[in-house]
Amino acid sequence: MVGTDRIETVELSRLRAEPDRYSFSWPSADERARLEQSLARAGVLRPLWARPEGDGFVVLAGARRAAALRAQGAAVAPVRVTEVRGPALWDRLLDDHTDHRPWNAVEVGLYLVRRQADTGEPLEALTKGVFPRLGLAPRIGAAAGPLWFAALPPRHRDAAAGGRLPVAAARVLGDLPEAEAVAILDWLGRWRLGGNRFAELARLALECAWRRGRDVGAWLRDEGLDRWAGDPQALRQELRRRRYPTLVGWEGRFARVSAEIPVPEGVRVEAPQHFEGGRLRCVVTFGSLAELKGRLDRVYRAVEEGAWAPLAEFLG
Amino acid sequence: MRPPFARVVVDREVADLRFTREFLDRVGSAVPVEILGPGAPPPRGRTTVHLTREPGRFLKPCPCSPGVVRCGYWVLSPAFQCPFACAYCFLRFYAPDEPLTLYANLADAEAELRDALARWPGPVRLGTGEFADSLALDPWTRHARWLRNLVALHPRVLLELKTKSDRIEGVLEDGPAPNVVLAWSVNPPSRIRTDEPGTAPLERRLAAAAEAVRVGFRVAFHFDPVILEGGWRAAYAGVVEAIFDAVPPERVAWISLGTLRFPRRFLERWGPALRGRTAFFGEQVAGEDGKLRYFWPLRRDAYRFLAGQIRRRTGPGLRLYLCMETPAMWQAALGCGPELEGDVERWLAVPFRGAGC
Repeated sequence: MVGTDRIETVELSRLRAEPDRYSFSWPSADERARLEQSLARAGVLRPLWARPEGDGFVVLAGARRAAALRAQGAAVAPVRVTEVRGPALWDRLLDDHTDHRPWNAVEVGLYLVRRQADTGEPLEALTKGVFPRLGLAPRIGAAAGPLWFAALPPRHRDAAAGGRLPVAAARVLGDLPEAEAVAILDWLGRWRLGGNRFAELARLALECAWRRGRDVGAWLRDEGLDRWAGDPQALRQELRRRRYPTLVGWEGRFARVSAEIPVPEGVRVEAPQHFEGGRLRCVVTFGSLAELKGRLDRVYRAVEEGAWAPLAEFLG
Repeated sequence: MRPPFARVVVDREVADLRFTREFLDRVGSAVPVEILGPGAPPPRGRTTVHLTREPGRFLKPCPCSPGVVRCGYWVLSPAFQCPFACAYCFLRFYAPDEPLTLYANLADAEAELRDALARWPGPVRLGTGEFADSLALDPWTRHARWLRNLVALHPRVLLELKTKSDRIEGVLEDGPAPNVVLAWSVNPPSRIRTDEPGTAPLERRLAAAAEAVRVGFRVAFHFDPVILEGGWRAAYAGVVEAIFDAVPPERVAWISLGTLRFPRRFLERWGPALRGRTAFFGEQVAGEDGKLRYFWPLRRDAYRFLAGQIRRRTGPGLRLYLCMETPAMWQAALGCGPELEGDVERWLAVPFRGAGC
């Protein structure tokens, strides 16, 4: 506790929450459930935090706990009462949160939004002192992702806070019209995807839709992909087939041709990504120099006899 | 001629420089002029000319991309930003709201170029068309005359003025210069109409090229970006025919070919706005440098097709090169490839003769 702060027992009826003003805490659904269980079992272990205003108090931290206590029929709660305002208050709220829970991206974004609205500080002014304490690099662009997560509808904030929405989502969807971003989040939110997979599926769908001049939500419905019953890997194949028909055709033909030509044991023929460069790779695995020679001889004979000629179409 | 800008903003520190005075004389009362004091925020928007100081270097080597055949091109930038608004231009991505910036401290550029001329051992191709159109503002900047005078005594420097305009009067009025090449980026007329707003139509570009040849200049053409969409073969074949109907092959110094490419971030930033523009959503995949390019066989086939069309009209002698492509692509598409860094430069800059790539 700092300066003039004091602990009082306050009637819950005198506490007024202003969640859009001060609250930036956004625990995951699991954490919220644990919090309610803890309150029911052990009561308030950590005082709420409030400031006198009028004949009552405005809750600065703990609005969710106050609501849970009310729901459980409690009448009073321990409250840390402070008179501090402005940036100093927000610095303390930051430290208080850091002392008790790790930050998630939604909370970082909400903190910045609420702090700016309350103090009028420009975002630039927060980069050096505040950003690093929030785990951000000290440059303004570092806040783009958290601010985007904080602006999402609550169900998607929950997904982000719960780790079901990868950080990459902000990078891929951050510049999109909100409706398209939400359509992608609704669509991919049913799976727990890594950042790369999420980004790839989102880009494929968006680019297919944009090519057709459509909104991605409408395009997914048109194509019957909005309720995809298969797994994400099969969905990826389906989207790639639509986005890159020639490339996927080449991949299929290459798979067939390379399976049909006689390839000695311990030898593999591979194409580079996207067949770039007009080159193929021949990978030979060997455990001795004699084995290497034998396998290379068999490759050499196959090439000499023209058995590998079908590969020519994939070369420069 | 009506200038393609609506106002001029001059930094106070360059207001008395020669370039500034001459530029403002040429603009006259056509547009309002404002003086910007020290510390004032710089202007924004491509309809504003900003006369300022280049605090860094004017002269830079073309950065190319990792793994590609390096072109050895040197870029001199007395200006930054373009009055045209081509849909695929990288400036649209990197500098969407920058003003038409003209650097008034050209004496610094001259000093830099003189230093470089003393260092460069062999032929050098020098251009101004990377961050700005070389001639779009020339009636007011007279950059072309300034540059040709700078390189006049250095025959091993080949100055390329690359444009999508037909504003060549200022270049032609001083007569031909053996080491100045006028170059045009070309695309089919339908593509120019949809994606190159503000530029001269193809027929006016080619009429300007024909006039330049008539006066005694060599000319060059850049098929860049080639966009593989719809009936692209017929459309580009038509451009090749139109070029060689307008100018004789022996007056063409070189032709470059480059297919549409852009960074992944371009689509993330501009994708929603490009909705329905199928050109930007072709089969472009990430290459080793991270840029999106057409799937390799599609690019190879496009280069082969264009090279075939060009050579059908010119024979094998015309110098044809690929922009931002690997040695493997040169070999596959053109059947040859410069082996060493700088080969492209020497090969393009030497006087026209015999067989080429």
